[in-house]
Amino acid sequence: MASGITITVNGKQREVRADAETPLVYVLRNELGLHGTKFGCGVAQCGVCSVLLDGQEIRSCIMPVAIAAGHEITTLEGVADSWAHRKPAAKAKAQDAQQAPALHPVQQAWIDLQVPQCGYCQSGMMIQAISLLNTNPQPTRSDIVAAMQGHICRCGTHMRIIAAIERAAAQMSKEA
Amino acid sequence: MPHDKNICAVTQRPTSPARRGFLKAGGALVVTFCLPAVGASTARTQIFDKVPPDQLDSWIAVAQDGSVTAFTGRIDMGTGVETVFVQAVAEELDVPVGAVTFVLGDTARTPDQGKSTASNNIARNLPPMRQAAAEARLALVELAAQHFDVPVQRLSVRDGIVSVDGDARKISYGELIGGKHFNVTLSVKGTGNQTQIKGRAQVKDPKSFRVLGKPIQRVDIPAKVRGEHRFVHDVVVDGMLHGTVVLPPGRGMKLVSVDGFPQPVPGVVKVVTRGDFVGIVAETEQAAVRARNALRVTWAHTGKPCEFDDVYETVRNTPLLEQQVEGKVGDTQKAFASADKVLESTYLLPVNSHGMMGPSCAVADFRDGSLTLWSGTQWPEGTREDVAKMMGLRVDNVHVVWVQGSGSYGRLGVDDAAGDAALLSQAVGRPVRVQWQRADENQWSPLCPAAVIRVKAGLDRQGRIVAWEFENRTPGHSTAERGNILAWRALGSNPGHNRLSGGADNPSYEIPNLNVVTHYTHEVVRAIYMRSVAGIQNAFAIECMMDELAAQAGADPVAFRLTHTTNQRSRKVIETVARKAGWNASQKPVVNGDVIEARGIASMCAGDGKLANHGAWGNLATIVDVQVNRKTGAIRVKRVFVAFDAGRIANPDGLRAQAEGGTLMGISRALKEQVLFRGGSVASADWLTYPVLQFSDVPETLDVTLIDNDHPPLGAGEVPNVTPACAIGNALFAATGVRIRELPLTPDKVKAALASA
Repeated sequence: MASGITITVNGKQREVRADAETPLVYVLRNELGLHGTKFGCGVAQCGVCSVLLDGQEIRSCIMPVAIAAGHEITTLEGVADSWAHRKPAAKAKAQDAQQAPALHPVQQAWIDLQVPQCGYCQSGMMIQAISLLNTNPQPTRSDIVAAMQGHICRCGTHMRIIAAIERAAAQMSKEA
Repeated sequence: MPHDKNICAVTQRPTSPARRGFLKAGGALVVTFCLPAVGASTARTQIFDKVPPDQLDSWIAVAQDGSVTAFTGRIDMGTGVETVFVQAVAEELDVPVGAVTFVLGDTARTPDQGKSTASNNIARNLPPMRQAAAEARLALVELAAQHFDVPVQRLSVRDGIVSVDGDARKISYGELIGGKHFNVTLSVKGTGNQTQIKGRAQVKDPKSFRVLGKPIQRVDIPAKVRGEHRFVHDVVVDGMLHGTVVLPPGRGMKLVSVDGFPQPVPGVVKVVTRGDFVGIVAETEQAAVRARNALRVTWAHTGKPCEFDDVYETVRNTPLLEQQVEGKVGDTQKAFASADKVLESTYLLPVNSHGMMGPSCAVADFRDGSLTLWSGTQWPEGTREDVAKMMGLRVDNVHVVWVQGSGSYGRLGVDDAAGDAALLSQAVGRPVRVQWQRADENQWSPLCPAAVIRVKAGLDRQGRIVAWEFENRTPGHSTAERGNILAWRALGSNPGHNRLSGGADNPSYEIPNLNVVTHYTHEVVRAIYMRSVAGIQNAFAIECMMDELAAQAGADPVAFRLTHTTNQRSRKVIETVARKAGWNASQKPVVNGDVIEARGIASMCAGDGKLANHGAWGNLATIVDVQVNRKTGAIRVKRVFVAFDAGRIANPDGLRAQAEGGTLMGISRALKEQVLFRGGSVASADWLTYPVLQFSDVPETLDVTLIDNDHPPLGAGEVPNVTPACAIGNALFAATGVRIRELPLTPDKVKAALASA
């Protein structure tokens, strides 16, 4: 039974069954099978549920799905494609090499610096990092700290997250 | 792709193929593990036998394409040990790292290797994994020798290809055995997490290692970065419903009545009440959450309301259960009588919460008298036995499939959600996923208990410690581990815990007269060990007292520590960290307006791992540079230096990551973390009321020096988490002359201490 709500997720229009007030996180995970976005606190305190709404980070645990309609939602599963879309050169390179879509520079930096431990918070971390770099391509360390402040990591990967954001920023400015 | 098989196994309910054949086949049948779900017509109770550790096929399987599947009852809660297990197998079997996939913690597919706790995954699991791979290599080389009719001495192996020396003949592992069994029987020593195996093969000399000891990238990270890694929270089973629990508002309360919903909640399938257990099953997750928030339930205190607002008074007043002497040397009474100076201090350590980022979650499928559980448990066999007992099932009717949970730091030594999911699945006859809410996790997960530690120490005229008395009064740290799943307590039929842990640690210094005692009290709140068990508590008392003694003796804290240990490994970490930090015995605090900068040191040394302590192993020393703001009382950790000897390094980058992560969690526990109670309820129900480290608290630099050596691997996950609190406490003293003996070192405490100084 559809609720009549249609949302755009990772470039695709998706019809939703959940009612208007359902938090977006449940729709993404349980209806659309996008498990990269996690549930953590339900009250926007921890940041593990972060997704991009028109390129800016929001907390999907407190966003009713109806409010998300009419906006571009990007989850971690979609950031590589959205980067390739922004950077046709990257896409062409990936296709030439017949590889999986090239990772977003933030994802690549996360691998290069071996950032995740348990990894539960990392989807939200990468989303927030991308959101920051979308508006501030050359952030200072204090910009990074301020942007990431609302995200909690219990494993203590913060040092590597900061370094990975700096690395991704450098890479993206090279590609730009 | 290491995780495809997990996904496969969780999307369909595995059936039970002919038991003996399957078990003997071990891993060889893994690729055919996804069998059709049991239809109603074939309904019968399934038996899940244990995997026999004496069969090589239980540990290693080689497929026709040469890919290797290895099996262990151990799990990786996020520290990266799965990668080290892969390295161990690749090393001994001479195959590429990318050829090896692991199956972890599946009670029907992996040998029972007990629990993954106490940082001993590498120390305890590398020997059997290396041995199994070495046995497999020997068997394969012998097959190749038969095949080519040459002596094994003429064969060499590289990347899973066996070559005849001196000519061009070669054959791959896949061609030699692909999909078939080894049929090699091993001898087994020990059970559970002590399981060791032995056959005819000799493991390699570490000097010839090409894979172990190298910074191999983690096998799980690419999927985690793409959002494709499967956590237990992401398990989907056909026909699965969503469950939730309704927990009482405070401790010591009984269910009076479940009074229904003020108005109907669409999607609710069933409200389940058993004893004091209240759960809800719904069609969707959001319906379950709405129902949980709407259901009217009446609870009442059974006796006098619980009251632990003052956790230290509670620990002091809770009756003793058992006393344990942890260390006794010489005659402390005599030594104190002749000591030149005697210091006595009491240290207070608050209740801490593991604070998993993802609240507890599990999926259960109870059908026809048997139960499959998908759980993030750190102890698959323990969860299996406990849930079976709770449900009144035979243990062999229960199958636990471990799927990685949120980082748990000990919390999943017991999986409460697995108990909830099992009861709810039984009640509705369908698979049920249970997801706790944040407040459930913060208020009802087992906690790290508070401790009251008294230390008395005596110095002689030369400034040497001659007497040491150490008493740790604490509830046991593992009362939730067995017999105490939360739902089982609610049913009222649980047997209760059978093991005490988290007592006093011996100091890693040479003291001629010493008396170390634990006073275990009865349980205050349900408890489970948290990253180091009581390491952080004991070290805070030991290492702050060492600093107090150094000050009394007029000695430099680094020199004072070195004076009291001849253990070369302990000395090396202390000397290394002091050199890296540029420690200077005559250094003075730097004052800049209201901000004073100073440094402190702490160390935690297990020597060769034989020190009788309760958790953390390894040898580690930490120096912190802190800034104390006299006006606000805020402590900011600016720089951290760590020197870490965890024995032979299996993966330097993995070890470094543990040193970094443990240090940051240690700073968090030092400065911020304490569970507050109000009238028998946990008041720290969310991240605002249980604050932890944020990015603004992260030091500017964190310098880790790894010390590699030829000693057996020691634990790495916990030790780095132990030293920051005492090092910060010591730096605060160096900066201000004020000694705070209670964690966390909050601005309010610092301000109050400065005001009364």
